[in-house]
Amino acid sequence: MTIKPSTSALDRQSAPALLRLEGITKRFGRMVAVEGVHFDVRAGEIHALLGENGAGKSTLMNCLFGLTQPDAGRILVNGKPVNITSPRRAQELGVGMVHQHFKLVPSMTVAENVFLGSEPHTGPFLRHRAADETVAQLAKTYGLDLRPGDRVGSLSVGAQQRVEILRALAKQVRVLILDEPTAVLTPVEAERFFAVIKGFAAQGLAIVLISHHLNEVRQVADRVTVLRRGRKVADAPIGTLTNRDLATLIIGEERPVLSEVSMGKPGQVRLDVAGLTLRNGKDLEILHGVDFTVSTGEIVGILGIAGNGQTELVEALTGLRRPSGGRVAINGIDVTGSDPGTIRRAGLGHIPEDRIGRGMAGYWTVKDNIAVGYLDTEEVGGRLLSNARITALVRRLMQKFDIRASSPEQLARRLSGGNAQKMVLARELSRQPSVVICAEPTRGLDIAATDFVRAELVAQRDAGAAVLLVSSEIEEVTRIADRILVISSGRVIARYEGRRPTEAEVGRSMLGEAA
Amino acid sequence: MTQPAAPVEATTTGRKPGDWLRAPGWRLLPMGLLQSIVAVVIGIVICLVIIFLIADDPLTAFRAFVLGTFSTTYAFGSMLAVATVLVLTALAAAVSFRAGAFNIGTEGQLVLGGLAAAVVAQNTGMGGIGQAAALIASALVGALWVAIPAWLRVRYRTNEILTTLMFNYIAADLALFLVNAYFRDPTSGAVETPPLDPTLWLPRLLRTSAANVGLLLVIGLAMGLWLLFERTRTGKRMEAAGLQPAFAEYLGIRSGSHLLLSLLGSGVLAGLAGGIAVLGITHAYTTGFSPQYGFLGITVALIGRLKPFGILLAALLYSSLITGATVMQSATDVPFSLVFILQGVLILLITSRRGGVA
Repeated sequence: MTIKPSTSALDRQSAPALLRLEGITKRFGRMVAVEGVHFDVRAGEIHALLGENGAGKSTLMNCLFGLTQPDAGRILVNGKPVNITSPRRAQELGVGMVHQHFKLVPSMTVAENVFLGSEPHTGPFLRHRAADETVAQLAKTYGLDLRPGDRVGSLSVGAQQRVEILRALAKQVRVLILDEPTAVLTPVEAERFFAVIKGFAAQGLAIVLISHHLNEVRQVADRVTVLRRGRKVADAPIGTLTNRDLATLIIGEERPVLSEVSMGKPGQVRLDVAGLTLRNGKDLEILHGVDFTVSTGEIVGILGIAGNGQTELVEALTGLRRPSGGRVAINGIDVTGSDPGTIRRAGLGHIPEDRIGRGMAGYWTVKDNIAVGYLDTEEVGGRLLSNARITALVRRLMQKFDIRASSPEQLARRLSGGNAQKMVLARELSRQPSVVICAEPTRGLDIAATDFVRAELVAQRDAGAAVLLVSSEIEEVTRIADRILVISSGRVIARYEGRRPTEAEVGRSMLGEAA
Repeated sequence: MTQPAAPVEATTTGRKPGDWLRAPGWRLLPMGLLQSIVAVVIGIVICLVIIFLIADDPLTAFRAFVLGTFSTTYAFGSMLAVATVLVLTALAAAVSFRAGAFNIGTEGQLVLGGLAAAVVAQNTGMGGIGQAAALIASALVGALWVAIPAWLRVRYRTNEILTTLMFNYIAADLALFLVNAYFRDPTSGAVETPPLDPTLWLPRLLRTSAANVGLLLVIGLAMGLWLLFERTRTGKRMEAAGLQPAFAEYLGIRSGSHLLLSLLGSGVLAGLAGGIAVLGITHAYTTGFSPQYGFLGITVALIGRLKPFGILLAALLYSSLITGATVMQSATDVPFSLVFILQGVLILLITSRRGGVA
C-alpha cells in the first residue's frame, strides 16, 4: 500500500477497501439488530456511520471488533475473508476501537494503560523506560498531547480519550473505529480531536466515525453511511448530501423540528442560590460564591466548558455534596447541606449527568427503576406494594414518555441511551417537581431523543416548573434557556437575560473572551 | 479562537477514582436460575467422579450419596432438620447480600446463638416459655455478635467481609471458653452443656427423626422475607442500596441505616438458626454442633439466587446431599468431607460470569 499523505479524494475512491463487511445480519432473539448491511472503508478515508440510537451502529461495529458474531455475512480485511472471534483477533487484523465509555485503569500511568497486557519486557522484567519512550514517540508522531508518566485518573476526559486512541495506535491498527468520540469532549477539545483524526487519515489509516452530530460529520468525514432500523439507507460522499437529507435519512420521515421556543414567563422564585462556595477533598475551592435564582416558568441555562465546576454545582444543589458556604433554598425552604432525600421532598426533580451510574440501576427492570421514584406515594400500593398498580403506573409513563422497551420487565441496561434517559425523565418529571435540575440531559442521545428531552423540559417550564439546565452544549442552551449564565473556573462570568444570545456570543465568553 | 484554553483544561477532572469501586451488589443479584441448575448438576457430577476414583465400592457409595436421604424415615427426617437450619442461615446471608453487605459471619452468630439458646432454656421455665425465651435469646445474641462489625462498617467503612469472617473464629473460641468456664456439663467428658429437658425440645414432625416444628417457623419466615423483599418499600430501598449505592444515594435512600438494619436482621436469623439447631437437633450445646451451617447457608443462598423460595428449594436439595453424604460415610469408605468439595465447586460456578470480567 503506497498512499502518500496527500491522497486526493479521487485516489481514495479507487483505493481498495481496507475493510469490507458484506451482508452482515445479527439478531437478538426475535429482534433484528442489523440486516444485510454492506459497509467498507478505504485507507486514508474517514467514513462516518450515522443512525439513531438503536439503528444498529453499535451492533455492526461490535461484529467488526469481535465482541459479537454476526449470524450471516462476512468480513474481509485487505480483500481476505476473516473470522473475527475476539477483540484481540480484531487488533491482530489491524482493527482498533475507541469506545464511548473508556476502558482505562485510572490509577495507572498513560504508558501503563497503553501497554496493559502487552508490556515490553526482558524476561520477567518490564521495560518501563522503553514503554515510556514508545508512548512519547507515538504521541509525537500522531500529534497527541500526552505525557507517558501521567496518571490517567488525573487527566481530563479529552486527554483520557487520547490515551484510548494511543492504545489502539500502539497495536499498529490500520482501521480505527471511533464510537461517539466527541460526546465527552468540550468544543475546544473536539476541534483539536478533528485535526488529529484528519492527520490519521492523511497517514493512511482508515477511520470509522460513529456520531450523532451532523455538523461534526460534515466537518471531517469523506463518506457517510446511514443506518435506519438495522438496514443501510445511504452510502454516499458527504458532499452529495445536505444536512436536511441526512436528517431525513436518519429519522425516516420529516419531523417537526422543535420550533423556535417561545420565551418563558417567569414568576415566583423557586430555587435561590446565594454565595455558594465549595471545596474539594484537596481543599481546593471549586465554586467561588455562585449566586442565581430560578423562577417558576423559566429555564435558566448554566453553560460552561466541562470541568469548570458545573458538575460540583449540581451535586451541591442536589445534596450529593456538601457546600462549604452559602445558601440554597428550594420553595423557600433552606436545604443547604441537606441530604438528597430531604431536597427531593422539598420539590426537586434531578436528571443527573451520570445517567448510567447515578440515574438508574442497570440490573433493575424498567418497572423498578421508575417505581422507585414513587415509593412515597400510594401509586405503588398501600401498606404493601401492589404489582398491578406499579405495572399500570409504569405502562402509563412508558407510553407518555415514549420509552421503547420490550416490556416493563426489561432490564434497564438493555435500553438504548435515548430510552434510558426517557426512563429517567419519566421517574423525575412525571411527578411535576417544582424545581427541575438537569445536567447534560441530551449527552449521547440521537436527534429524536434529544428533541424529545428538550421539548419535555420546555413543557415542564410551561407547566410552572423552575428548570435549571446545566450543559456544555451551546446549541442546547441557546435554544431553550430563557436566561443564560456562563460559568468558568467556578465563577459566573457572564449573564444573558431577556433575550437569547447567539451561539457565537456565548461561545466566546465560555472561552474566556470578554462578553 | 485558535489557541485551546489550556488553563481551563488543566482544572478539568476525570471521574472520581472512588466511583470505580462502587458497584458491588450486581455481581450476585441478577443471575439466572439456569446457572444455578447447571452449577448443581456439574457439582454433583464432580462428586460422583471423585467417589468413583476413591471408593472401594463406587456403586454403593453412589447410591448412598444420591438416594441415602430417602432410604429411611430417620434419614429423611434428618434431611428436613438440616434443611430447617440451612434455610435460616441462607436467609440470613440473603438479607445482608441483597443490601450490599456481605455478612460472612453467620457461622459465628449461629454458634453463639446456639449457646445462648441452650443456656437460657436451661435457666428459664419448662415447655413453651423456655423455648420462646431460648429462641429469642439466640436471635438477640446473633444480632449482638454482628452489631460490632456492622457498626465498624457504617461508622468507619471497615470491610465487613473481613471483620465478619474473623468474628467467626472469635465466636468459636469465646463459646469454648464460656462453656468450659461456666456452662459445662460436669458429668460429660465432652465440652457441652447438660442435656435439655425433653419439654424444651422443639416438637417433632416425624417420629424417631430430628425433623421438628422449626421447619414450619422457617417456612413462615421465608414467606415473610419474600413479602419484605418484593412487596415493601423498605425491601425495594434496601435492594437499590445494595445494587447500586450511587443510585440509592441520588434517590435519597439512606444506605447507612439500611446497611445496619440488614446486617442486624441477618444476625437475628443466623442466631435463630443456632437456637433451632440446639433445641431441635442436638438438645444441648455441643462443641461442633454446627457442621458449618453458616458457611453452607451462604452456598444455599447463592444457589437460591437470594430469593426466599429459591432458598427453600436449594436448602432441601443441599441438605439431602449432606444427609446422603452422612449415610455414605457410614456405609462406605468415602468421607463426609466430600460435601465441602461440592460446596467449593458450587460457589465457584455460581459466582462465575460468562466472559470473565464484565
